[in-house]
Amino acid sequence: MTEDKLKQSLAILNPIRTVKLKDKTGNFEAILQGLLSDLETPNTLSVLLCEQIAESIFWMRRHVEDKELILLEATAEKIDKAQSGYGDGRTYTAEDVKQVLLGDEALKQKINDELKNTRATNPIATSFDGCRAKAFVSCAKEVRIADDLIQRQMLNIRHLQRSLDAIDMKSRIIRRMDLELERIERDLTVLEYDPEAD
Amino acid sequence: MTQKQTKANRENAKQSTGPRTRSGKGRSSQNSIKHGLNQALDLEHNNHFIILLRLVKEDGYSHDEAYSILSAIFDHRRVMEACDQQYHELKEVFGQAEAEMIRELESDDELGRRTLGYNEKLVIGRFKARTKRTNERLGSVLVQRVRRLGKLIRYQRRSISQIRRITQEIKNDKTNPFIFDF
Repeated sequence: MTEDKLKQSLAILNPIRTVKLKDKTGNFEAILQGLLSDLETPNTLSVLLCEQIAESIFWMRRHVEDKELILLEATAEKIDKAQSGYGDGRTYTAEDVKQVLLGDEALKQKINDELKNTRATNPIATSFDGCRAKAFVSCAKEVRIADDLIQRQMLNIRHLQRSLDAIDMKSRIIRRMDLELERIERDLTVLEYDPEAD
Repeated sequence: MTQKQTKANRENAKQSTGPRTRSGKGRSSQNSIKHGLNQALDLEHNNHFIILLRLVKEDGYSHDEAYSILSAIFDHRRVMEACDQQYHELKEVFGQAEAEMIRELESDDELGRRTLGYNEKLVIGRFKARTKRTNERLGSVLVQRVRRLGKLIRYQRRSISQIRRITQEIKNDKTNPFIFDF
C-alpha cells in the first residue's frame, strides 16, 4: 500500500522536481521517499511541498553536523595550541575529540598528560576539559548562528507542514464537493423516479 | 609615488572606458549584485513554472491560486539554492598569492634581498604574522560557511511565511461557510 503511494507520488514528482542539491550521500532522497510514502492523496502541490519539507529536514541535519564539527574542531585546535603554543602543526583532529567525548578514557588521559607537561609554557589550559571550555567560549558566536539556522529549519518544516495540511484540506474539500455533487445528482435522480409521484 | 608616475597613471586610466560589448555590459551590470534575492522573479519566461502552473490548475485550483502559491514556492527555491551555493563556497584565505611569492623569496636569499632589501627577514616575519592573524579572524571553512548561511536566514523567513500565508488564504477561501452552504 505504502509502496504504491510512493510510486504514485514519485511519478508525479520526478518530471517536476524543484530541489537540486549537491548531495552525494543519498540522505535527501531517503527523507523525501519517507515523506512521500505517507502522503494520503498525492497531487502536484502536495508532492512539491513534501519536497520542500524533505529539503528542510536535510538542511537541519547539515546544520546540526556543522555545529557539532565547529565545537570539535575548536577543541582540537585549542589542544594543539596549548601543546605547541602556535597551533600550526595539528596533532589532534575533530575525530580524536569526538572519540574522547564518546568515552575513550585512554586518549583523554594521554591528552591530559601531554597538557600537564607543557604547563609552564601553556597559555590555554592544562586539561582536556579546560580546552573544551575555552573552545566553547571562542566559537560561541558561530554556535549561536548555527543554532539560529537549526531553529529556522524547524520553523520552515512547521510552516510547510501547515501549508501541506491546508493543501490537503483543499483536496479534502474538493472530495467533499464531489460527494456533495454526487448526493445532489442522486437526489435529483431519486426525485425523477419518485414512486410517490406516480 | 612621484608626480610623473601619478600623471602617467591618470593618463592610462583615461584609456579604459569600461565594458564595450553587450555581454560585457551585461556582466558588469551584475557587479553590485551579491545574491539577487531581493530582485523580482521572472516567472513569465520560466518553462518549469509554466508546466507546474498547468499541472496545479489541472488539480482544481484557480489560475490566481496556482500562480500565487507557485510564485511563493519558486521564491523559496531561489533562497534555498543560494543557501546551497553558499554552503559549497570555497574557503576564503587571506594573502594566498602573496604567501606563494614569499615562499619563493625565502628559498632564494639573494632574490629576497634584492626584492625586499636588507630587512627582508623582518618584512617576511611581519607579513606572516599579519596573514596568520587575518586568517584566524576569517576562521575555518566551517565557521565561514555558518556565517555566510546566517546572512540568508531572513530571506528564508520571508519566503516561507509567504508560502504559509498563501496556503492559509486558499484554505480560508474554501472553508468559508457561505461558499459551501449549498
